[in-house]
Amino acid sequence: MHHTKRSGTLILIAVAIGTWILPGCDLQREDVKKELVQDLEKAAEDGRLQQGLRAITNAWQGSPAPGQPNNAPGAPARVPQGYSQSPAPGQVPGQLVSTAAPAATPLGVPPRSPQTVLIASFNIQAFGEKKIGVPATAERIAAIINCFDVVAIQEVRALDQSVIPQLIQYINARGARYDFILGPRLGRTSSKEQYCYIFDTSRINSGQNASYTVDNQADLLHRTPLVARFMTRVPQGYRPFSFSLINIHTDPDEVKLELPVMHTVLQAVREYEWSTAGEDDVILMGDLNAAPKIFGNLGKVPNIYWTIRDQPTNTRRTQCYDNMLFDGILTNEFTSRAGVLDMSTMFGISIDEALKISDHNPIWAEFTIIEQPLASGPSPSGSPPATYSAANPYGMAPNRPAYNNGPAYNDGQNVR
Amino acid sequence: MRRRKTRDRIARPPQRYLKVHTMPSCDSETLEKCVLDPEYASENWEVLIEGVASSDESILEPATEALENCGVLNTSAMPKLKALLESKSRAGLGSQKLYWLCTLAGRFGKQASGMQGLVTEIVTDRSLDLSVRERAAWCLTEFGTLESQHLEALKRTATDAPDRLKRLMELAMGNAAIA
Repeated sequence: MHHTKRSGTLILIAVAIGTWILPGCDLQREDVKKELVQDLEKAAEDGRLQQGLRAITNAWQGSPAPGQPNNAPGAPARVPQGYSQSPAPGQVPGQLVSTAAPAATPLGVPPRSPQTVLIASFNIQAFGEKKIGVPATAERIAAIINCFDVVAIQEVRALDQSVIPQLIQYINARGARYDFILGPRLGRTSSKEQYCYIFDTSRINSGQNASYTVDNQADLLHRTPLVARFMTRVPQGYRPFSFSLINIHTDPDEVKLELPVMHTVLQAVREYEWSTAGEDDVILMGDLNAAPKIFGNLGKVPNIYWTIRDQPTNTRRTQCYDNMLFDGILTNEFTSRAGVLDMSTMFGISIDEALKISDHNPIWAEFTIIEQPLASGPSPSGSPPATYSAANPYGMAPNRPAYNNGPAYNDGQNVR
Repeated sequence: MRRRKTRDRIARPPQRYLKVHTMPSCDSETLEKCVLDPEYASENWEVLIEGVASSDESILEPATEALENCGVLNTSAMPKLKALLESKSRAGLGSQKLYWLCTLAGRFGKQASGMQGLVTEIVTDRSLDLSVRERAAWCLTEFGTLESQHLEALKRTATDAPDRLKRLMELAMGNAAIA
């Protein structure tokens, strides 16, 4: 683990917000989220989830009342051992912040927890009929996905559109309830590639209708990113963590052309998500075919934070290709835990064997299951960014017209 | 007896016999090895070029994947690559093969700038598939240098070229000016 900003902290919060009202709501947002909110209410009856959350609130000796944020009077006075009330950079004073070393499995991936969600990205190198047809490989891919709540997948390459449903059967073989979102077939040659999201429906709400492909009229990217919206399932009275993921796989030969566009993709999707869904948590993730040192303008986006600093992400452990980027202030649900899951260690196999699964290792990051209130204090760098405000983080007009096919972006020369 | 010998020679010309035994065939075993080992893929790029033209997905996909990951070929491959890009050879190649030949040429960067004439011909050939012309234009951006006659040819073509192709041609011309 190598995170400088919030290293060694585990955030445990109980924010009770009775209403789900966000500025900038429109019909599209209502359509997308109506079903999610209904499902969310049902999720309150989920015994496992409730039990886990009840256990935390009991440990705190008093959770905030519904509708009352935990930094208001009445927030828990007693702090359990191992926790302090010192706010981490960018977090609300009064939040419970762990000072204890984070628990982790030998692989480094934290165990699944009722308080957190694990989001991952995995390039499954030419995932098609051949790989799904080898049970040992398919089972290993399923075991990897079972470690996470949401996985953004790159390189689904198959004419046969049943390969992902077949993978879902492997994943759900032991009683899990995962579902998927599959993007369109993309590519300039006869070999096409699809993005995919696989998510645990017992913990996450989403669906095919909550996804779109970014507008790529100018044809700046070989494989146009697939965006999807997700929301955690939490008991009634708790505000779920909602987030949008941008799944991207750059063309390795055109990295020099595509990477300079990436910050405008991120910016356009963030603006679109804010204006249409009131969403402030947007995470760009996938196989960038680039290490952070060559991110260029993407690495200069105000408050941008990337989870993989210097670790190799390929199976041979020689290159850093994959990453996960988001606003370090707005997405304060991030618990500071992130990393690379080494497949050869996980399965106790040689690198040559691991390469039969993929030439990339999965990357992951952990987030709180409950939406965090936006920080009102200064940013970690000392002053808030010029365009930042808690009510409208991107300075957007709430009635900005929506695009039909997702947001457009530009060539990076003239940032919108 | 004499006739029979002649017939045998026609049926099994020595050149063809040699080729079959020196180059692996485009079978699933070879392709899998290429996917798992970029170095092996790089050595067997000609097999992969055959594979990308296949309509059989079990050949096309691993061949594409292996070409995507094989990186820069050994410079000893350059003469063969150049020969394939010659107008006589490329006529029968088809879009998929041409696309990847241009990609492999572009990966050599400045080292392959001697192919700029052939690649410029591809960029300016309106009868070719747009994706091929675009990849050829990308290839020129990697070469970094352009001789004046090729620069002029690009300028003429760029005026009414589709957006992406035009953008790549302008980038190639810009890079060449800097060089």
